[in-house]
Order: sequence, then structure tokens, then C-alpha cells
Amino acid sequence: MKRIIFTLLLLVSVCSAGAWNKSSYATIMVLASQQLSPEAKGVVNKAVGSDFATIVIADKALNTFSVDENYAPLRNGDNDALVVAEQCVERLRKNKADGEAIVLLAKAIADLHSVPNFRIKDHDFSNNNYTVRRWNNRAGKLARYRNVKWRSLWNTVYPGRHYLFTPELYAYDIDLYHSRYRTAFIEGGISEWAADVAKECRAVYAEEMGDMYILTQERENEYEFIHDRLMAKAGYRLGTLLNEILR
Amino acid sequence: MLFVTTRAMAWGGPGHSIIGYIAENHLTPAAKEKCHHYIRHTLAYEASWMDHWRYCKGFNGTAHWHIGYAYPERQYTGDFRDQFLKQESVRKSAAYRINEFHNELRGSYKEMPDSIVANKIRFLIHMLGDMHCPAHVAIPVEDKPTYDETTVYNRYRLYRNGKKSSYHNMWDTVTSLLFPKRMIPEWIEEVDTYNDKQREKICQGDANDWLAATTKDVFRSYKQIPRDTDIAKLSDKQREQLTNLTYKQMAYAGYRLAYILNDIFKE
Repeated sequence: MKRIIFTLLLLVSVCSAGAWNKSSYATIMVLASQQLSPEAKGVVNKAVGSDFATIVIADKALNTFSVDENYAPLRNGDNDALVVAEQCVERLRKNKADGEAIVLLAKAIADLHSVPNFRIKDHDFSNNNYTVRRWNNRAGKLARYRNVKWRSLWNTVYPGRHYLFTPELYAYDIDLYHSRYRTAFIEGGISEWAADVAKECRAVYAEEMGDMYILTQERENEYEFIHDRLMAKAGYRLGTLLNEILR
Repeated sequence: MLFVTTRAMAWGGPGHSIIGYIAENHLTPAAKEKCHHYIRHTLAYEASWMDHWRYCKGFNGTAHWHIGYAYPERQYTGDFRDQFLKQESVRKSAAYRINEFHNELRGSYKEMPDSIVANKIRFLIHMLGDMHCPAHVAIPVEDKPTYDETTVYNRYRLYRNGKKSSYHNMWDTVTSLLFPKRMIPEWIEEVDTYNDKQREKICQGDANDWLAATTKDVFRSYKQIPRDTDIAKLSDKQREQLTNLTYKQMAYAGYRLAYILNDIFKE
């Protein structure tokens, strides 16, 4: 009994420190669903037993994405997002009706595109969930700092700016901004996408950051562009991948 | 003249999003296309942009743009009103800027760089929202013609479940106070209920007229929710009054924003 409770608690803690929050995962699923061809949509919905866009993936186990010092993927362990994605693609090539593989693939692709999920070998900041101090840019007595964990900044603060948005509304906005780049975003395959995510994360982690890092308003706002862009990429790429595998 | 004003987080993000969404629903196709071209998002998405960039480089001096400085006609007339309007902070405030940007864009948005047009649209989205928030209406409280910049804000004390809060904070969190589980579509269903004729009447005049009308509701709300009220324990009547005022101000802000954007981008 204790073991079961411990496992559940561990699962909950892993999920709550997840790559995206529940709403963002749902938004990625809506975006991906919008990319599906009618044929792929039919296969997917039949395999998972429901509308693909409404599948909840937030409760699945977290996949991290590990790279070495040169940002090359390490394919490190069974829960590495890239490894899981590639395994699920193999499963689906053998059996298109593998609903579990579809769901795990969706989670892996989503997690692959998450900045706080990114782990750089021997990089202190990316491997620890440090606190950042969100500064209001003011000086003296008017200065205010709001502390937030690095992962919460990405999976709570940014979606929190639009927390009344349904996944459909959020997806509409993400697509409105990024649809013109869609063709470029979906070029290549999983390996190229992983390299692209590494490049995005390099822009974030190139900064010297440590515990209690002070985040200016400008930097906080710039990160939101990265957050949204990666959400768009995750959705477009997942949809494109499923179209390709399931045709 | 001592002003009772507010910090610049009227409505909170959710309230601004609702207003943006209402406006989006009432844009003409041409205006919607132009807005999406320039800001590359919906009005709802960009509704809190001005708050997020407020203290960033290049945004110095925009603090007053979040506030509506009201001047009830019957109290401030003649020389007194002239002196009032000469004050720089008043001239820089939300109503003034809304009218300014409306006139500028209407005349010549095509000659401006896209980034300038985009930012002016973003400012308009937020300022319309702020100006319609009762906590962001600055009303002179002393009968003096001169005004020194003040950091006194409209934060008369309220409580929330026994903990200290303020009038301003109540409006910051009004969406979660009234209906914590509602998403945008449900809000729109309750708020966006005026017909064409009503909306036309609501949009008559300019930002100064709209602000003056809002002032009356603000005075009324001070009496409905007086100092030291615990807002987590509002009476049914108070809750109804607060809900009605919230719905009204959100709807008016949204319609007027749409009116301005439709006017700017009419073909």
C-alpha cells in the first residue's frame, strides 16, 4: 500500500514539475489535430478511441531531453523524449492502430519542445530547478521581485498570461502568429527537430544563470516568444509526423 | 489637487482578455484583417501587453496612460477646468492618448511603419480596458486647481476573508472573485449582450465622454462597496451590483475599442 502511495505521489510530483501545464499540452494537441489529414485523423481517432484533440497527455510520465556540452542529443535513457519519440514511430510503422504509441508519441514530441525539460550535460542551471527572481525593472523602494522556480516560469507564468483561454482559443492565437513559418518548422524529421530545439534552448541557456537569477521584464517577455514558438513547433511537427506515418 | 488613482494592473490579465475578445467579435472583416496583420495575434491575446512592458526601456512615461483622469463637468468648469486640463499628467492620460492615437491612425496609418501601428493598436487595446476599470479612474478629491504628481492610489481598504485588501485589488482580481471557473466563451455569453442600436449609442462621443460617464458608476460603486467591506462575504445585492458593473464596463470597453479600430481601418 505504501509503495502504491509513494509511486502515485512520485508520479504526481513528476507531472506537476512537467514540461508544460495542462492547458499548454491541450493546446499542442489542438494544434496537432488541426494539421492532421482526414485520413490520418480517421486512423488516429480510431486507434485512441476518441477525438485526438481532446486526449489528455498531461498526466503521462515526463520525458526530458538531454544533450551534451555541444548540444548534440545524448539519447539518454528510456524516458528521453527523443528516444521515446523514435520508439513510438517504430511501433506505429509496424502497427498504425497502436493507440498507446500515438499518445506516448504526442507526449514525447511535446516534451521534446519544452525549455525547462532540456538537460545539458554538466550544466548546473539546466539540471536544477533553480529560483529566478522576476524583477519589475524598478529601482530603490519601488523595486519588486517575485520568486519563481525556473520550470514554473515556463509552465505556469506564460500560460498564466492567458489562463482564461480555452485550448482552442490559445491554439488559434499561436497559429495566427506562427502559421506563416509552418513550412519551415516542419522541414526534416525528428532528429532535425531535436537539433532545432537544442538551438532554441542554447539561446536561453547561453546566459550565465544561477540560483536567484534576476530576470528583467524584457528578458521575461522575450522568453514568451520562445515559449509560444516551441508550442507551435510541437503542434505542427506532431501533426506532420502522424500524417507521414499514418498515410 | 490630490488625485486618487491606481497602480496599473486594472482588471488583471483575464479581464483585459475578455474585453479584447468582445472587441474582436465586433470588428469588421477589414479591421480584423488589419489588426491581425499588424499585431499578429488576437486583441484578447495582446490585451495585457502594455502591463508586461510597462517598465521596460522605451516605455518610460507611459505610466499615466493607464489611468483615466476624470473631470466631472459640473464641478470643474471655467478657469478651474482650464487649469486642470493644462496639467501635463492629465494631458498624458488614457483618454487623451486614446483620442490622440485614434486620430493619428485614422488619418495616416498607411504611412507609418508597421511596428508603430502595431504598438499603437496594442496601447489602444489596453488603455480602453484600463479606462473602463473603476479602479483606474482618477477623480479629484480636493477642490484645488493645481496637481502635483502623486503616488497616492485609489486603494481604500477592503478585506478578503479577513485579510487586508483594497478597492484596487478587488478590481485586479474581479474575474476570479465573481466566477473563478469561467473561461472566456462563458464570460462573453454573459457580457456581450447589447444589440446594434445599444452599441451604437454606447460608442457615441469620444474617450473623454466615455470616461465622464464611467465616473458616475465609479462614485456609485464606492457607496455599494464601502471601506472595510470583506469582499469574500459580499451580500447578494452587493455581488449583483458588482457583477452588473463588471459586465457593463467590460462590454462598453470592448464595444468602444471595436468602434475605434473599425473607424481607423474602414475601407
